[in-house]
Amino acid sequence: MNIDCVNTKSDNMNIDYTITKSDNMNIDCTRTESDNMNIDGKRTESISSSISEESPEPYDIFRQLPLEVITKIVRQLSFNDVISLKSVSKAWRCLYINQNEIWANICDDLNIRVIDYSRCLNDRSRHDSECKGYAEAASEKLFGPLCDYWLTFNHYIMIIRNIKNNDFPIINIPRCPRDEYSYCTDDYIVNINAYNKQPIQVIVLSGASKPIVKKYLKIFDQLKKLIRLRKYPLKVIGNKRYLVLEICSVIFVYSIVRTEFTQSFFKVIRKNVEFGLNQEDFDSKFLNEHRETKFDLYDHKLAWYTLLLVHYL
Amino acid sequence: MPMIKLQSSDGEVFQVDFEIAKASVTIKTMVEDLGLEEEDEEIVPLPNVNAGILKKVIQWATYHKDDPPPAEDDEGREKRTDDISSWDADFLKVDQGTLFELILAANYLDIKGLLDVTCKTVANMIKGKTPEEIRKTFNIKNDFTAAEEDQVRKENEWCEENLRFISWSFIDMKVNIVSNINHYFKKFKKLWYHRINLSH
Repeated sequence: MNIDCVNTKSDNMNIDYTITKSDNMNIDCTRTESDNMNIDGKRTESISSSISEESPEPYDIFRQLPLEVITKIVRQLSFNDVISLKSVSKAWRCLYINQNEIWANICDDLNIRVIDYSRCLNDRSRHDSECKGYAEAASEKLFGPLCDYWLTFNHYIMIIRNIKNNDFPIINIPRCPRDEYSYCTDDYIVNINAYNKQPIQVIVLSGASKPIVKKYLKIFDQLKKLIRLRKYPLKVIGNKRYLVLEICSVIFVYSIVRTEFTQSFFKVIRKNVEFGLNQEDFDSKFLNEHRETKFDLYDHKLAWYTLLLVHYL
Repeated sequence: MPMIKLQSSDGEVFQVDFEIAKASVTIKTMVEDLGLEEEDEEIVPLPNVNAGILKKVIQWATYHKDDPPPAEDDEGREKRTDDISSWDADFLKVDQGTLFELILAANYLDIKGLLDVTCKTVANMIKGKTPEEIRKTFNIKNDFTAAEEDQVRKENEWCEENLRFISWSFIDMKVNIVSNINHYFKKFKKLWYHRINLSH
């Protein structure tokens, strides 16, 4: 299993950038009567002399708190609360919420790793398989760049969306019988044949001047098994750098370097029943047999998993 | 009992039991660095905390003096904010200004327990609220232009729409564990009743 080292949180901290943005923010420093409201919204006596002065202009009371304290508060909140907070004001959207620590926490809760997603779709300008709808939803042009983990989160959403909709520019050529498929991108064609000894064949289109290269992918065992079952549909997405196959809620990722396809990693996802997948699609035995995956890297989650196995046994 | 004198930013001096003052890592370090002894009349200045807030902090530390030391690592993933004790909840029924000043003081004095509980209180004030309700609670001005607001709405919809359809396997595992525990509990209950009936 070829898993690259993970960037540490500190490596990804983007403090300078946020400070720069805060310098550009136009936030008034005046204080208002909100300072004297308690949790229930009732007026109370203030014992803090420094904030008893009143001013007609609304004042963001959080501005007096250090960023790390605001981050500590936000980390107590659910994802939906974070979404609400970023709609409160520019300061919340661009500064308070735009912190690696907050988004790293969200990513960790969703089992998202920077190494998986950042590298898959990091440079969208070079990425030839833009996710539909993202350009319209992306707010970087208006509000400035996002912190690394927020960007990672968005990449994750993009991959999920593309897997869900099969929106990458792929042409599916169903053959007869139905166990054979071809998926075409600009750079290669992926042929799937469940009956072949090596079920996935890739034809690399290296340009008109060079000969076409045919190769068989070194296949993940579980992927082979799932294809052979001929029970679940296989989806393929890909670009110049990555080929992602999704079957039965497991994604298998190959990295592509100079037409060489290398097994990178795989990861179990489970989609909602709305996708027509059954509960038994998610196989705990399979997880147990594949401990070399990145599940091992999440000790606290693995503890849950071990507990589950104890119950099963 | 060794006492220590703490001076607030507005000059008021408080004499505090050293064991209570030690709840603050900042004070503890200052005392150690200055090499203060029991009989010393030295006053520890706290220029970032006014008398009103310092009084509240001392009140909190006095009540919690027998608490076990807080765990070093609080980076656990549990997002619990409902574990505030009733005394702390009453103690923190103050105006927002005071609450935020307490957070600042807890941060400056490095009192983890107080910082945790004040941050949780603020988190509870945000939880489950819409952006408009949050603005109203903290009197924050909505400074988005119409176009910016529209863009933020699109951004939120985009990720909410896609996230709604997926859930990672771990969430299901947790559900499974809970349902398994329930299953065994019911089984145990059944056996227990059966045993009682047999004994009768």
